[in-house]
Amino acid sequence: MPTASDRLSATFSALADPTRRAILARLALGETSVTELAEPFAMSLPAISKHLKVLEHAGLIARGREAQWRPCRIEAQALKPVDDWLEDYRRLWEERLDRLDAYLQKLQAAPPGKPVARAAKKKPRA
Amino acid sequence: MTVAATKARTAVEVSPSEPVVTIARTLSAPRALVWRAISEPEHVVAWWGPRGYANTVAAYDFRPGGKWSIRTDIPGGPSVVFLGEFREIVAPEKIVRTFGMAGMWDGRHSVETLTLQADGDRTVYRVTARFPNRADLEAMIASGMERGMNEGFERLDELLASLLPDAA
Repeated sequence: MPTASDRLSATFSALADPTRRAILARLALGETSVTELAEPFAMSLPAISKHLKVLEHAGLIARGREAQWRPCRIEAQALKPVDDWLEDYRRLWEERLDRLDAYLQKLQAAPPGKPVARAAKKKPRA
Repeated sequence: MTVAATKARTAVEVSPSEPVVTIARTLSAPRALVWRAISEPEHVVAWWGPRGYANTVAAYDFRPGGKWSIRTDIPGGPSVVFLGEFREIVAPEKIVRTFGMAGMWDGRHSVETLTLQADGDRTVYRVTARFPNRADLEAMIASGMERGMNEGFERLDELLASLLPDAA
């Protein structure tokens, strides 16, 4: 059973290629056949199919089973773990920079000449 | 394509192909003051760590080649030491430094480039963090995700416990 880490690695590998990113962008607009997907690229159908396999393995696209057509569609849910982590990481920085911003407001509010630098050790707040 | 999360005050982007994360924020203070707040240790320690944690500046030799090190004491757990070295300093607009955690990543550090851009009485604060390699960034992401999942389960347990009819 793939771990969260494995799935995430697969997602990033899939996204690391510009052709695959372009394919995803196209699929975000709607279900499409392999032939239509291949059209903008100077690339053979087998080469495109390889990219589609990588995207499918990462769970980023789903492929229909109709023998001739096999339409592809994007699976937006697969990007969710990356979005979730990114949101956590963003919040970490947001809180850090909120603290910096609040501290800067305090420095600016202090009357001129009054020292605002605290001792090196910060007391924990409840 | 970058995976971007932009909300409220801080924008963060992760490059899907390079081991690079960028953070951007506009601070409501003139650049000279922001520069002091990020370059002088007495100021840095005042805003560094999460609320409720005690932070101690063990070293902050603010010049190229100088070492920096800040210890954060986590209640009920081991301390965490963030550390690195300053590489390039251009007052009042740029700091390049390495960033690592004691005992983690086999001693590898990310390289952070921090710039301050004056915008009237405000300052645009930008950081570009470059990880040693793609695998390190992905490992950090994965550990953050797993931690997030664990924390999610803990919160769920608490919630379930509080909903039980016999809960105190």
